[in-house]
Amino acid sequence: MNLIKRGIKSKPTIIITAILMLVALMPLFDDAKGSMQLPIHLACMVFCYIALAQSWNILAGLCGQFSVGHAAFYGLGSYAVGIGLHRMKINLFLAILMGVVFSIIVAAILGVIGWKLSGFYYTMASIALAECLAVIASTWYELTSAQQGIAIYRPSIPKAVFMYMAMAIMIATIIIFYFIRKSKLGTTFVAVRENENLAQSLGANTGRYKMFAVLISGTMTSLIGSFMMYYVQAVDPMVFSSAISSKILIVAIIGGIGTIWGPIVGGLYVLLEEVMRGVFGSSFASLSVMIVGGILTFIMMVRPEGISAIPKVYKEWREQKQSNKLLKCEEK
Amino acid sequence: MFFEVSEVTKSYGGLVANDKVSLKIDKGEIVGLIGPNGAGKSTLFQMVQGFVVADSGSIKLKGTELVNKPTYKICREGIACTFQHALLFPKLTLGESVRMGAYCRTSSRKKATEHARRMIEFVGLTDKEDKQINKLNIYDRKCAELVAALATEPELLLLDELFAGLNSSEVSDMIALVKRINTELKVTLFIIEHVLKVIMSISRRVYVLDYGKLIASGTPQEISVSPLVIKAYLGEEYNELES
Repeated sequence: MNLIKRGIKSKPTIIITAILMLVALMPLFDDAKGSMQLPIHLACMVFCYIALAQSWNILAGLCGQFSVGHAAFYGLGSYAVGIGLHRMKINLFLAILMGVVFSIIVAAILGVIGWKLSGFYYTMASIALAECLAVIASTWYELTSAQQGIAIYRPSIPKAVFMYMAMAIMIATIIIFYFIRKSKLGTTFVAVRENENLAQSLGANTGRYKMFAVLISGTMTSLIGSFMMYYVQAVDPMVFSSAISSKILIVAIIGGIGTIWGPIVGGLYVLLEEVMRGVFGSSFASLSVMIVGGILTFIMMVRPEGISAIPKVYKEWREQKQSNKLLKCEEK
Repeated sequence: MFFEVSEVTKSYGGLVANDKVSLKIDKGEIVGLIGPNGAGKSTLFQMVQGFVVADSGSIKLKGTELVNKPTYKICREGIACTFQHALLFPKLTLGESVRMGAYCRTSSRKKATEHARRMIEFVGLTDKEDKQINKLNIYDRKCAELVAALATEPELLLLDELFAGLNSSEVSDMIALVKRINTELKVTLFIIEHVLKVIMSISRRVYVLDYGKLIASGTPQEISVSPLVIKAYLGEEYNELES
């Protein structure tokens, strides 16, 4: 109970809650022309990517298993809904469950890889895993319609509803991350990341914890993938591409990997990318990519710990300055 | 027998790191293990901890066979260790690092935190509980690693060169701490050490390894006059130390 109180009372939580409340009010200002439709769509995408990055953060940020194949889980979740609704004509929830089951299988494979490989080799294996699924998706025509992709039909639901759902999903992932970080699970994850041998010698079955991390993270990613598929109503083999994987990890890294605030702050990246694309339009698409890339490089050069570390660094800097002042006074 | 290593052999290709090493430790003892560089001391420790699997022989704690057991199970049997280079978990705070050790016996955050607090108080680092490990100095970091190991509630604690890199006043603080661990927490200690002064002053018995073979054992006084040991390891160095 103490933990919850401390989490709610912290200053950043209040700021984020205020922003979320403002965003939640957006649909009220919608007019006949639908001028709020685009901001609502953007908010929905930002929330989804924050949620994706937060679930990636559990595996890579906490446990140190640097997966660049998270599109695998995302794609499985998306395709499960597509195939389930379009081909198998089953209930939506059954379809989502199917995605989770397949994701757990793939996560288990990645977990077994994690027992044997670490560092770059693990990263490469994770990329290969996503690529395998991409190949299956783009060649198994009977199941996935290959490059055409699958479109689904759903009752028309206002965008605002999806935005509220995305917000709820995002908040859920943040809460899950918070409780994992504060529990035995999170401490052990970080211990495995920092010094696996020592973690073992302190009684942690590190292989099992690495497996837990990938299972939790994979399941969450799959669920979010299913949600996004249901929202955009179409899926094609691009969902397995490294573009998705890298977008997920950019959001987490630019904000601050391994911290709860990282992905939340990193959500700004999605916004920036979309806005840039809007400003420059399709004729200058490459220019927007260049500008976004430049901004990313700049942030990583100035603050490798991510944007969310800035207040902490500033606080440390101020304390340093104050203690220096005190020292000078004493000298005088 | 509390802890027993019998006829343990480990070779890396043609190099025999441990050749039929046998030793016994009683409950409550402080036993030292010395030997020149490359004598196989750390290999023996790694085998006890389960990081390295012995080719043959057996290692038993209170009758339970430890060879072929994974490290985390050996820890739960009651053996903890500190590492040669005290890295610990650089990005965790001292409190959380120790809690990590406490989680070995419990899953409850509350119990683990309480236990970790008690252990940190025991070594007198309470004021540094919220500090990150990589911001601690070398002595505090060694203490931190010691507390984290102690938090797993071990019966046998292996210390691998705990005193390396400490200055002389820190060494005497650490000796006092190690003695308190032995007497107050009733933990049996098995120590690898290069600083001879330390090993001579705290251990009741010493084993000497050379080229993977156990060449002598006995009280520090007996060891220091054994011609074999002097030839293999102590040589002129110890004579100088004596004078």
